[in-house]
Formats: sequence, structure tokens, C-alpha cells
Amino acid sequence: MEIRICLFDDSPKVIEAVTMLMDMVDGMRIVSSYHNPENVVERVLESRADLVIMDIDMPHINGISAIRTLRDKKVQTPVLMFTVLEDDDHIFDAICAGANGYLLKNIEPMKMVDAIRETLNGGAPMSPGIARKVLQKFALQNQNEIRVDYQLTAREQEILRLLTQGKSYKMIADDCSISFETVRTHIKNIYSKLHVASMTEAVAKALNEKLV
Amino acid sequence: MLKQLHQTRLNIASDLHDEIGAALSSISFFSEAGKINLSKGHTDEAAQLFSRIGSTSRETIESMGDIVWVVHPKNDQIDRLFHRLSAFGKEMLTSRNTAFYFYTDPHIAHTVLPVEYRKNLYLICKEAIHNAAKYASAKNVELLIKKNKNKILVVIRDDGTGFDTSHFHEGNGLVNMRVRAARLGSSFILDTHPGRGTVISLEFLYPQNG
Repeated sequence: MEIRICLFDDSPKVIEAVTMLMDMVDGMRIVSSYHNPENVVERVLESRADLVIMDIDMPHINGISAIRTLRDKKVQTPVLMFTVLEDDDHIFDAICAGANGYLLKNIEPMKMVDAIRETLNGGAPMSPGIARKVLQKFALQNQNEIRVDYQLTAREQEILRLLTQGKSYKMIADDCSISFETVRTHIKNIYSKLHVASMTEAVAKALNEKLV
Repeated sequence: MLKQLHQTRLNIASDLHDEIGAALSSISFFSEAGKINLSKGHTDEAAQLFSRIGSTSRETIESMGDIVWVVHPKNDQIDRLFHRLSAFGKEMLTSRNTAFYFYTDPHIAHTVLPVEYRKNLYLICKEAIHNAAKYASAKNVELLIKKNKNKILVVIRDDGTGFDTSHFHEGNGLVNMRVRAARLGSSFILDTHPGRGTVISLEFLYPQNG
């Protein structure tokens, strides 16, 4: 059964070239192509597309908001981004909007054919550099999520930081131009907020969870 | 001013990226299609694809030439625009036995237009002349660029075949012209009827610090 593909790209050259190649590949065909994604839902459904190839930078409406429109209307047709843009913002916006893959325009044409098949088999093809960026961002985000907000005030944070530097209460009092008693009060509050009972625990938590 | 310069640089980079990206991407696909044709012994089709690759390359070189021309500081003044459009018009039209009349306003000849204005104005006029040459089969094409108080008025008119806008799906060329006109903050009026030629007119405010 032939794979029906709907193509959105604002360059007539690109549409012509991609269509020409797909015509020569068995089992898939560009059934419709458009220069911009106006009425994207209609166009995709009307074409009975099995898959959509979507440029990002198009006049009036860009490819990323087109995917959002599709997903908002519960259209789950897989969408592969096909673009020259490789900056983080576009990649992540596209993925968050519901893209199933992200291909750069420097892709070898036959790899695009593979990518189409892969997507319909449940894959998520991305040009190499892109996949790497996504992994890195995901790893970074996960690290950030572990960080709990203990609601320390600015002053408390500062005192905690000085503690982790090994300063004594007296030194902290001098550094911050406050009284010894005030330092003790702050530290009591810090222990309470961090759910710890000793200075070593407080410092350990501060360092492990990157609180300072 | 610095912010404007920054934006201009971004725009130029973006234009080059788009133009070259689209062209080379299509050449990449044409090449692959050519290979497949050859492997199947379809040499005629393969030859056509080579031609397509060639023409795409040439079109892109021309577009890059335009971008470079627009950006170059020596082309700041409007008379350089007049000069380039005049050459383009003659080249496009005289080979088709169409007369080209270009009316320019000496009052703005030395006005300095910012890069974005130059680019959009040049590309609109170029597209209009190109369309007239390709579709209108006109005897005469006129281009008028003149100062109208604090605005610039541009009119491109041909006495060719015209077309029926109700049955006509606007192609890239016209859409691009409208988009560029909008970037100039310009009005865009298309007046055409089958058998009665075509007129496109624009009017926009231009920054007058030059």
C-alpha cells in the first residue's frame, strides 16, 4: 500500500525536487503540496495523508504553529520537520508542538525515504546533530528537576553559602555585618527548611543539591 | 541604530540561508533522482534532471548577486536602484519584442534608502517585470518610481493579456510581492482584467534622513 505524503514548503524548487524523487521511489508518493500551512487540518485530512513533511519558515504561518493546530484538533498524522533551521529553540518548539521527527535539508535524499518508513514504523528520526542536542537538553532538564525549592530567603542562601565555605558563625556575622545571634537564628531557620539537624547535614545537602 | 543594524544583519543572513538552503536542497534531490534514472537506463529523464540542476544553480547565483548588490554600501542611493532595474527590464523585455519605459524621479535620485527598503523595493519591481515578460505578451511595459510628497509611488503597468483574478490562484511571485509590500508598510493594488493589461501600484513612506 502506497504511503501518501503531504508536503508543506514555501520553496517551489524544493517541492518540485522532493516530489520528483518520491515519484521514483516505490511505495510512496507526494499526494499534495502547499506553499504555506493555511487550513492545515483540512489539507491534511483531504489528502488522506499517512505522513506530513513540514518546513518551518513559511510566510504567514510557520510550520511549528501548524503542528500545534493539527494536534489541537486531534489530528495525529505523523509530521516530520524538514528545514534548514537547526537552532535549539526551533528544535524544542517543534518537538513540544508534536513533531514526530526533525530532518535538516542537508539530508541525503534516500535517508529521507528511510526516515519516512521509520516514522510509520513508530520511529522518531532526527538528523544526527539534532538527536544529540535533544539528548543533551533532556539530560540537563532532568538534573534541574531534581532541585527542590526549599524557599530559602536571599539572606539564608548567603549564610548557607558561607557555611559551605567553612566559615564559622563569627566570621559569617562579620561578613554580613550582623550579630552573632542573628546568624544563629538564620541557621536555625535554614536547618528547619532543609529538614536537617546538623551543620554537616546542611552543608552536605547544599552541595549535593547545588543549592548554593 | 545599533539594534537596526543587528536586525539588518540577521535579515541578510536569513535571506542567504533561505535562498541557498532551498536551492541546494532541491539540487540534492534532483541529483538523487538523476542517479536513479540512470540506474534504470532512463537517460532522457536523467538529462532533464541535469538541466534542472543547471538552471537551479544559475537562478541561485543570480539571487545571490541580488542580495550582495542590495547590501553593498555603494548602492545606498536610489539612482543605483534605477540603474539596476533599468538594465534588468531591458534584458527581460527587449528580447521579447516588448518596449520598456522607465520613468524615474530625479528628486529622489540621491536619496539614501536603508537596506531593507532597497531590497524589498528592488525585488518587487524585479518580480513584476519578470511576470510581465513571462505572462503578459505585452507590447509595452512601464515602470514608474517617483516621489509623492513624503512617499514613494511605484507603478508597473503593461498592456498585455491581463488575467482573471477570480479564477487565479496567486502563485509565489504575487504572494511574495504582497509580503514585501507589507514590509515596506506599503499599499499594494493589483488591477487587472483579461484583455486589458495589468497595473500594480504601491505607495509607501520612506525614512527621510538621507
